[in-house]
Amino acid sequence: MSKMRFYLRERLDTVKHQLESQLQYGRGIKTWQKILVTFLVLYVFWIILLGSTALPPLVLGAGICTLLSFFTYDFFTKDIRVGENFFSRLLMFVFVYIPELAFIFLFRIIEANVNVARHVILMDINPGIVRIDTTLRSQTAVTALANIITLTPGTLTLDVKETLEGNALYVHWIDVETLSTEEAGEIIKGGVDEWLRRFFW
Amino acid sequence: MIEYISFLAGCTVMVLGAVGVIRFPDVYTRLHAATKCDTGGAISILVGVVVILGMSMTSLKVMLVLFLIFFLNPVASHALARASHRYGIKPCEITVVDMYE
Repeated sequence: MSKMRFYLRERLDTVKHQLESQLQYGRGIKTWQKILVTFLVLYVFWIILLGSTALPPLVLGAGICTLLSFFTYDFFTKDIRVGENFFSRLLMFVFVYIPELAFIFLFRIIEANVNVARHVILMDINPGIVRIDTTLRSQTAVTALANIITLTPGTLTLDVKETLEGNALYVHWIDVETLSTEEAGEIIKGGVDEWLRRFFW
Repeated sequence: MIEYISFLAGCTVMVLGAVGVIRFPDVYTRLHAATKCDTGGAISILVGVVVILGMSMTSLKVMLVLFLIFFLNPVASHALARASHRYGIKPCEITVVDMYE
């Protein structure tokens, strides 16, 4: 009887999780917006690789990018969250949020390098593998979070596992300060979690 | 002037990372040294290159390379660390805790 109850509970949680994921998915941006975002990314990449401003290659690139974005718009944009005003959010993303992240990041990378240099010279290491939880669900967001955790001082992401509340990250920490999951999450993630939740779910 | 400072900083960080790969006790801590120092050193050196080139299409391409290094280096280190843990390589003796299993 008790086993049965546990089974039902587990099943209920799974169904709830699936429902929530589908609801979130339904709130993504519209199809033409996805096509536009894909087109912009592909076209900027093409212009950088082209390296000149002659007209015929630019027109050819625009045609091919349009064609490609109609086929592949769902690959990279399905995790983007809906907002009130699409164009203002796009402009904010390019001109405010990306420079903000880059600026924060520059200092954290410098700090990470100084940190590793100190550890190399003094060998005062205290390593361990801890688990932290995040409520981000989508693959893009978790990938970005794991990459940023790897580049910030003293931490290296080992693996990601899906849980009911989101995802659990296993992090190798070179100088363990605390064993509790919540405190470790506070220290390791910092504000990156909140930053990513503005765009991804 | 800025570019030479940048080159010097990048080379110093790279050398320290290489020393770290030799000195650290196990594969995970060595990956720390390899990932962070390679990323930081490469970014520093490429920023110096961008400063020398000035505003041109070539420096735009160098910035694209910088962006790719920034994204691909953590992915590679994650793949190496996860594969070695799954293969059964244990962390060194001074490791405090291992919650991954």
